[in-house]
Amino acid sequence: MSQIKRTILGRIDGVIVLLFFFVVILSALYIYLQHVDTNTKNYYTYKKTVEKLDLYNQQLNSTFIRSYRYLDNDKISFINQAFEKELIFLKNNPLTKLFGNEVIAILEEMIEKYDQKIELIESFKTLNARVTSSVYYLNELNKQIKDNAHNNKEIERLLTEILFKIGQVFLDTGIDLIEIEKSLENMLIYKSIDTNIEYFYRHIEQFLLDVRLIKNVLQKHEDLNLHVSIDALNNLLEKEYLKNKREEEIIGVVFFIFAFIILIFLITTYLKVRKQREKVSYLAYHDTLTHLPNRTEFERYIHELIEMDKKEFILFFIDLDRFKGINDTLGHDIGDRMLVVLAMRIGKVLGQKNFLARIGGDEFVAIIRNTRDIHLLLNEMASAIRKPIHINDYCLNTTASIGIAKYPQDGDDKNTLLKHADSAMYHAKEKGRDTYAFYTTQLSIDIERRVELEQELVHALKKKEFLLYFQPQYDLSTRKITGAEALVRWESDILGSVSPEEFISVAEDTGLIVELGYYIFAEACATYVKWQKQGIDIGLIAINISSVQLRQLDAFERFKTIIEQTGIDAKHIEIELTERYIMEYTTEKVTILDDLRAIGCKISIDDFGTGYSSMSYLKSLAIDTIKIDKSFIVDILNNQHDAEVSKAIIVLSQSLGYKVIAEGIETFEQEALLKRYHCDMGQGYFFAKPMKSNELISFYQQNLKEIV
Amino acid sequence: MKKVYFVFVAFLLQTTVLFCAELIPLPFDVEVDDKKVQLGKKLFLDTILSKDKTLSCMSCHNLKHNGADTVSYSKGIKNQKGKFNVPTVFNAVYNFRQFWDGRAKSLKEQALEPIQNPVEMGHSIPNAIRDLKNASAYVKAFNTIYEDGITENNLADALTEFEKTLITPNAPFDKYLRGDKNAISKSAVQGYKLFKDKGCISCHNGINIGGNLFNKFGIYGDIGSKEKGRYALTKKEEDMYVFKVPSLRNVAITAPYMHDGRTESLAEAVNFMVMYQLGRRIGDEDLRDIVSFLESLTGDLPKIVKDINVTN
Repeated sequence: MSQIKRTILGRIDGVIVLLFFFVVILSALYIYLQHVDTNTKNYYTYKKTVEKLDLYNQQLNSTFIRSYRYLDNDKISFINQAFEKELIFLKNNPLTKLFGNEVIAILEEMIEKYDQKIELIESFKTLNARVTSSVYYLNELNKQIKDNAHNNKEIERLLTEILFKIGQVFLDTGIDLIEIEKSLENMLIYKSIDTNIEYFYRHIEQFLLDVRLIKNVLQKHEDLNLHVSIDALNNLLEKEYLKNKREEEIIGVVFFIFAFIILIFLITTYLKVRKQREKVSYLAYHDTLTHLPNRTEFERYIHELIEMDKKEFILFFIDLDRFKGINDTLGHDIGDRMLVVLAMRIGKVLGQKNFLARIGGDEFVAIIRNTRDIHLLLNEMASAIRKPIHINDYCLNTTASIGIAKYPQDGDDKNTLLKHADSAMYHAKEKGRDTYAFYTTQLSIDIERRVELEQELVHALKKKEFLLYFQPQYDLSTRKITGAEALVRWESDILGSVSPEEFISVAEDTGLIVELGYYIFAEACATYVKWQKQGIDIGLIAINISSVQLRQLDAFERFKTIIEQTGIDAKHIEIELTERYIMEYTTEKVTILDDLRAIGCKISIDDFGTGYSSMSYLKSLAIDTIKIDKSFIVDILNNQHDAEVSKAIIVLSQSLGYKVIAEGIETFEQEALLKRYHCDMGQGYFFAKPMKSNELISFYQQNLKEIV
Repeated sequence: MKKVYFVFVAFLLQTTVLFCAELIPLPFDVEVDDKKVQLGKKLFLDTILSKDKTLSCMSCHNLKHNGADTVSYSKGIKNQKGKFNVPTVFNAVYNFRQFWDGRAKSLKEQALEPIQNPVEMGHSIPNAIRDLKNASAYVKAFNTIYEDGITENNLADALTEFEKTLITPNAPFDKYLRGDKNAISKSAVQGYKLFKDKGCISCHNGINIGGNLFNKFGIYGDIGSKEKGRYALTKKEEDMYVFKVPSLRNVAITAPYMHDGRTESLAEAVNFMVMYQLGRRIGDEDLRDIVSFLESLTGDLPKIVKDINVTN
């Protein structure tokens, strides 16, 4: 997981670098865009200013008309100020420098022309004031002179003529001012008649002077052409503005393309990272192999259930039987694939509503919310697990032991529940696997007992608390003793007498079985040699050896050493093994059984029939004897099935050349039946119970006498 | 003959339209920056701007009276005599140019000149600024208003802002223009009509009743002016004796008149104008009426000067 985290971090680092790169590009673009945009805005303002100047200029031009009204003087002053303001704005605008000499030259020309124009406007205003005032006064004089002239036609004609001509001047119809002067000289003849005529003359004179000046001003204004400069500036700006605008558009498009790419990039990166995160979180709470929730998730789930729901539920602790063996023998690859198949099968049985998690190698836990029909569910599960699994060329069979704990009866916190389910599972295993067990308080007691056993067992060997008993095996037809099985007893000074059923499994689990096994083996051999020395040779001493012990790499060497040390002839030794070991042995690349047989030892299969040995491969085994399990014998008289199986085992074993011993014969009828089935040998309380070494000596001597 | 009649009527109509236009009343308020106004006011009243610290702007522009002086030529530092009669600062903001010869295009252009004129306050701008910078109150005041503190531009700006507030609204004639027909006497109403009819209005027009254009002093006859007006600036023949037409607002209290203060009474001044500027004659009755019209142009003192105590 940390590796995945690291890759994600690595990717994020890469993303950040790339992102940084993009952001830098984008920022640069943005800044440039802003710059261009500001320029465009400035151009715009600049252009607007020039347009305003054009407008003001046109408004100022309206000053230069004949009927200019002094009413507009304030307005003209205002426009003048506005025009100047804009001119100063342009003059001080940084863009002016940017545009270069052409614009600066035009602007300077404009300013110069404007100054001239202002002069002209002022002159015009002045002259216009004078001329309009004169015209008005001339009209007044005209009336007075006419009144005073008393129908002097010549004066009236001259006045009318002059005023008409003045009118023409005023309306700019192209009259020559000299003509008016001529008429005026004719008028002067009558100045003695009315003093007003002299005033009239003087005013006309001033009027003509002013009109000439106005003409001059108008001509100058014509020549000034301020608008030409404004137009030139405007055109120049238009070009720059368009150029800049185009640049802005292009960069804008590029900017948005980049922004879009970055957006896409960010989105995809985000999605990727999110996916990775989900994966990580999935991995954190799920088992990579079976994709089931893992222990963490299980703990979280059960915690939630207990804290939030408080409804009752049932916890299954499912442990596959002998899975370790499959893992060890066929390899983890096969084991893993098997786990996947089993996880799927269990999950299918449990359905969606129930929770299944894998919390260890071959350990599963299930939480069942619906507490009804548990047995049905368990059976379904067991049969689902039991179905053969085909992987590669192997056809694998497995079973599971299931421990069951109920919430809240069997515990109200997750640890207790799990512990108790685990205990129940152990109990199921002890019951012989492929079964299930409900947690009971007794189980807890058993566990305590087991812990006690474990503690005591460690010291038992040193304390020499193990005693060997021997149970005779005899020929069913002759009732002659053919051998004896060495059975171990533990007389603990603390726990009292402990049965092998109890302590052997503990010894196997703790590994003490190895030393205990050698001890028993050595004791049994020594005892047999002792018997021989006393002149008794019963034939065989059968010694149980644990599969755990046989898996020790130096097992054969140690057995051989013990045999040599005790001086027993190996042919007297029969090693009893469990059916399970035999089955595993066939798949293991070990030769210990063959090695033992090679030095003379005999091999027998203990408790035959309880396991799942296939008769078909019995023939290839390196064994000599088969012991029918006492579970078949105990009910052989009443149970047809047991009888048939026993008979079949006997027939088959004999046909394969193995000797058959029936264990646990307790009655005469059982012995008789087995005898009828041609079973070779027997062992059991009916013939003899396990006894101490010296007891066996006397029993043997007694037996000899009886036969004889 | 029909054509003759038509042309004549047309031109008469035009001129009639021109003379029919009315004058415009002054507004009651102007938009200004109050902080700048207060600073400008302080500067206006402070002698710190004169070289020998004897004169302030107020020395020649009496804000408690007419915004000008009452003598033909005011005295600058060391008792030097000026060249022109002091024009009033009242309503100066509405003048199209400043000074008699209109050399300053705006109040701001005008504001610093009297400080530097050797016969007026006789200072120099760098020295005036130095003096201001030595006065901590000014440093503080300028800094709170202007980012760059005391500068030539900001000095002019503050003074200008103050001068903008020096308007004299509410003259009886303005009330008359706003509809109060009884605000001025019948004689004044008649005077206003004459003012228009005689052609005075052709030069004295607009919001300031003058201050809108230049004209030659003495169109109908040489009247012997020592100053040559705009000619001094432009050196153009046509600018000889051309001066700014002054505003007639508050004219009744701004004697003496003309750029050289040559006339003491209003009647005298009107008569002078009619003769030399309009080339006409005027009867005594008409003259009286025009004078009463002119007397109706005196407005209220600017609000801002109310708390100023006159010392000279």
